[in-house]
Amino acid sequence: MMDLTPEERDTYEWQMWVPGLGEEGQKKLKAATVLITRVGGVGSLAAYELAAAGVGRLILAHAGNIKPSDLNRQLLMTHDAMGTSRVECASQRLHELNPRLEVVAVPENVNASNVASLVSSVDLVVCCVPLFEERLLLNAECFRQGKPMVDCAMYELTGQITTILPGRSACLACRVSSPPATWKREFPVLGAVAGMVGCMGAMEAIKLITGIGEVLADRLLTIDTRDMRLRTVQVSKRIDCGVCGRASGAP
Amino acid sequence: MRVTVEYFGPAREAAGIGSETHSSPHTPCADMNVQSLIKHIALERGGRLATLLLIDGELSRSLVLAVNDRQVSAEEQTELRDGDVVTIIPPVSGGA
Repeated sequence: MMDLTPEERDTYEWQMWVPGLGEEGQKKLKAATVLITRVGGVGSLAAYELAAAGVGRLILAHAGNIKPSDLNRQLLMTHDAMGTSRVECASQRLHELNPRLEVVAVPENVNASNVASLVSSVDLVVCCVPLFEERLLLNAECFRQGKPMVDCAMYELTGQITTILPGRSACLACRVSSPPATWKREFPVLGAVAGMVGCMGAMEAIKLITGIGEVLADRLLTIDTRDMRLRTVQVSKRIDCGVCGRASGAP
Repeated sequence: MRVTVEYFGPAREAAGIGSETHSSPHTPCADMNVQSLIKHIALERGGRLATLLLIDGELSRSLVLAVNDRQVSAEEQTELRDGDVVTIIPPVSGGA
């Protein structure tokens, strides 16, 4: 692994004091590549925290241009950049924070054509997408390629987060086998809730990369910010899961 | 017997309440397992909560149901005991 430069040591000094992280953990962050799928209300904050923490390379996948209705939550977007590419604006904002960061801006959402190449080029995925079709596609591809996926989701004032270790812990399809008919593309979003989930997702990614702490494998954390109720539910693999279960032919 | 039912996300929105207590005169209650309790709640309330919890009259497999923070299957009957906390977590996917 590459050594840290003096400037990096200065920048990350305070977080290298975290027990178990240290300079070795910082080098692991520097060497890591993370795919963040969509940099909306959740993904913007996940990307920002990972950039701040010194992750070496981020791949951002998100189609489309900035709209007024993005700006209550998509904190890497700016009013001045209205109408321009979301990922280009996000890339610029991340570089303002961390000029050492390598960003690959992919102006596409994850789809069947690009998912294999996107996942293959990273160490782990932070999934922050609004559609179950994309989420399940990423889940299946991460399982196929043996890449961890941090699954971040929110709705209204609640958040859900889990970490999927392929072959070792319950995958998304163990609990959601197909897109639920009740999920709608447009839903209530408060930026602070989306951002909180994004920060938690970044923390899971940092733990996966550095090995500190304990990730949410086989655990689904649910938080309701309306009254700050929090539950961490032990979840189980399904033996008949179409992705990771016996029926899939998975090992 | 008293059991607390907690609703998260869209379930809280549809139920109009974060949590509530259900009581039964029997302890433990042979006819009040997790699955029958949630079906009963869905059918009694109807409307959006029923749409969220039931598919063709059966509990949706996409729900995460938990008793005392441990997931239980929507398809198998799980006996309830006094003081249990049942959590209902529908799937959500924002990102937005």
